[in-house]
Amino acid sequence: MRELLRWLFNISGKELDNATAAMSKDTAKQRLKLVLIQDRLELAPEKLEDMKKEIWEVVSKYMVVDDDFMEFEVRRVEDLTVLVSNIEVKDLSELTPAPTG
Amino acid sequence: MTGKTIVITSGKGGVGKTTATANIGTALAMRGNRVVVVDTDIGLRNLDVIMGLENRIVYDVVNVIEGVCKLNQAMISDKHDYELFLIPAAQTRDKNAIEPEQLRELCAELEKDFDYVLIDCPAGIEQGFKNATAAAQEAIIVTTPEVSAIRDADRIIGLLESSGLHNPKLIINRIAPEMVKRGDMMDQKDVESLLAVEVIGLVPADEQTVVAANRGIPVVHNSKSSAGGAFMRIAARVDGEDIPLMAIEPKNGLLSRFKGMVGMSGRTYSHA
Repeated sequence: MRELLRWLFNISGKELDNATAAMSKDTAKQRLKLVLIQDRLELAPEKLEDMKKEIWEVVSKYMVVDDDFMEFEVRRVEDLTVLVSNIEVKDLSELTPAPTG
Repeated sequence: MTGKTIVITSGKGGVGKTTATANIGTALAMRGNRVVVVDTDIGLRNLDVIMGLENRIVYDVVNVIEGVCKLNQAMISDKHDYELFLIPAAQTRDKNAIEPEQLRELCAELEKDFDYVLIDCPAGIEQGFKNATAAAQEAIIVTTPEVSAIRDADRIIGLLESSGLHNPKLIINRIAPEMVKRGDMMDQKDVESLLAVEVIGLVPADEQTVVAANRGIPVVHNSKSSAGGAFMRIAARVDGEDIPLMAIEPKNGLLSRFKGMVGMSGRTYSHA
């Protein structure tokens, strides 16, 4: 009986090996994240890229920021749509004072 | 009696709105509620066939609104011994046959006499969607764990919010546990993190749902069906019971393995 059980469970063990392969659901999630931002802002993909670039340019006029690290997230709070952007500041010492007037 | 009107919607077609409406409605009635389900998919009615009531239609929702018949003449009683009624959609008219305000008035009238008024919403975001959502105080969104359905569900959440229907609940339908296990299908957490709404039910893909549709007997009548069980629990949650969500696991029991080996594998899944 024990032999039979082991034999049976060995078959099921094989199914676990597949878990290490690339997971297509991660691709789905990544793609959806971007598409949902575009949809929520009602913004075409290229416009979104333009906005991202322009925001980065404005911020980098005043501080040193990471080229790669810039995140966008669009949240819904009740009937408001909120755009949240995370930008990593690399160096505050080079911070130039904002022009006045 | 002051009942409430709940719209069942999705954006994308074919994700299981009508099946969800039929099953949640039936399950709520089984729990002792007075329930009426209203098909607002004018021109493409289907709730009648899913419930097995297609041969008993005389009047429809447009007839009621246009005053051709009385409200109770258009209500078809379910064949079973509990209080469940269907108001079918018109099949030969289009979505513009009714206005949001008219459906709102109709549902307000029904709320006086029923615990739950469930509206089966048509796919899309046009007139039919506006009609169906205008009448409801609460919304349940049905999606499947697929990119297209999730994207459309997100659009619907936004549109519901802007029309004042807050905190919609989500049903994730047709979950294939073996694909989830392999990482080839998004799970509850993945969908929740994308859509940021509360999940009210996880329904496994179940052959019995198709069998039930073939027969015109909602799958909640099949006590052995995993999807039926999932819909029963959704109805209980709608009815105010606090039942935790159960993870959907592939059935890997000894018995099913034996069945698989001798070729009896009717793939079934456990729990939701």
